[in-house]
Amino acid sequence: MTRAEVERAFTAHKDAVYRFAWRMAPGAADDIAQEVFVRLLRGQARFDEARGSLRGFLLGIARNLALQHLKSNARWELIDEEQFVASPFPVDGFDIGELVGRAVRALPPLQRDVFILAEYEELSLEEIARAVDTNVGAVKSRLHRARENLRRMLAPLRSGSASRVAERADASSAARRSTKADRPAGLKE
Amino acid sequence: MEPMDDHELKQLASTWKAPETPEHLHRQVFGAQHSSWWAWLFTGNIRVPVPACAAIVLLLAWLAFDRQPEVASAPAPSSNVETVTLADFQPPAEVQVKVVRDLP
Repeated sequence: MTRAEVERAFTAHKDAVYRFAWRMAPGAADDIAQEVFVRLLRGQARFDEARGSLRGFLLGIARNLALQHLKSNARWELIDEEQFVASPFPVDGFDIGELVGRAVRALPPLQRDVFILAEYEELSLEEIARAVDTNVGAVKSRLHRARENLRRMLAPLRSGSASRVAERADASSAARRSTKADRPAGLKE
Repeated sequence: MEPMDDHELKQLASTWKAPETPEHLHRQVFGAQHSSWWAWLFTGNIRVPVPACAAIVLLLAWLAFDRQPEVASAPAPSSNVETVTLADFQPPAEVQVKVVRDLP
C-alpha cells in the first residue's frame, strides 16, 4: 500500500482499531494501534481485498498483537477455554459500564476477542472468522460461550428484575450523555 | 430468575464505552517514518537474544586472553648472551695502503 492509501486507512479505521485494542489490552492500546498501521506502512502486513474487508484485516492484526501482549505479560491464564465457567461478579461500588468492562476482560482471550469483534465492532461471523483465523463454527461456539459466561457474571446486576437492568443501563447512558453535554465546546472526552 | 436474554446482554454491553483515539497516534505512526536513519543511531535500540549475547561475551573474553600469552611468552633478555657493541669502533687515523705483488 502506498503512504496515501495507508493514511486513508488510518483515517477510516483508527478508531475501530484503537477501541478494539483498548478493550483487549488497555495498557497497550497505543502501542498496538500504532504497530498495526506501521506494519501496513512498511509493507509487513499485506492486505488482499479478495480475503475480506480492510477493517476486518486491521482488526485481525490488532487481535494478534493483543494476544501476543497478553501472553508476554503472563495475562493469558492457562485454562481450558471450553471449560471456563464464570462466577457472578460483586456489583457494589461499580459503575455499570465499568462492571461490564471488567466482566468482558475476565473472559478467556479467545472468547473475549470474538465477543468484542461481534458486539462492539459489529463484524459478521465470516469477518470474525477471517480476523481470528478460524472457521465460522468455532466463532459461533466461542461467541455462545462468551455470552453465557457474561450472563453468569452480570447476573447480580439484574437483582431479579429485567427492567431494573434496563433502567440502570439507561441511567448510565443518560449520565454519560449529560456529562458530554456539560463539557465546554471543543473539549473531547 | 429468568436467564438474561440477548437483548438485555446487548443493552448492558453497550454501557461499556471505549475512550477516544488519542491525537498523538497519527504522529506516532507517520511521524516515525520521517526520522532519518542516522537518528536511529542515537535513539534506536536492538534486542539481542541471551545466547547471542553470551556468545559475543565469550568470544571477546577469549580474544582478550588469547593476546596475553603472546606478550608473556616473548623471550626475556638473557644475561648470558654476549652482546656486541660498536661504540668504541673508530675509523683508522691514517690509511697506509701496501700493494703486494707476486714475485715472478
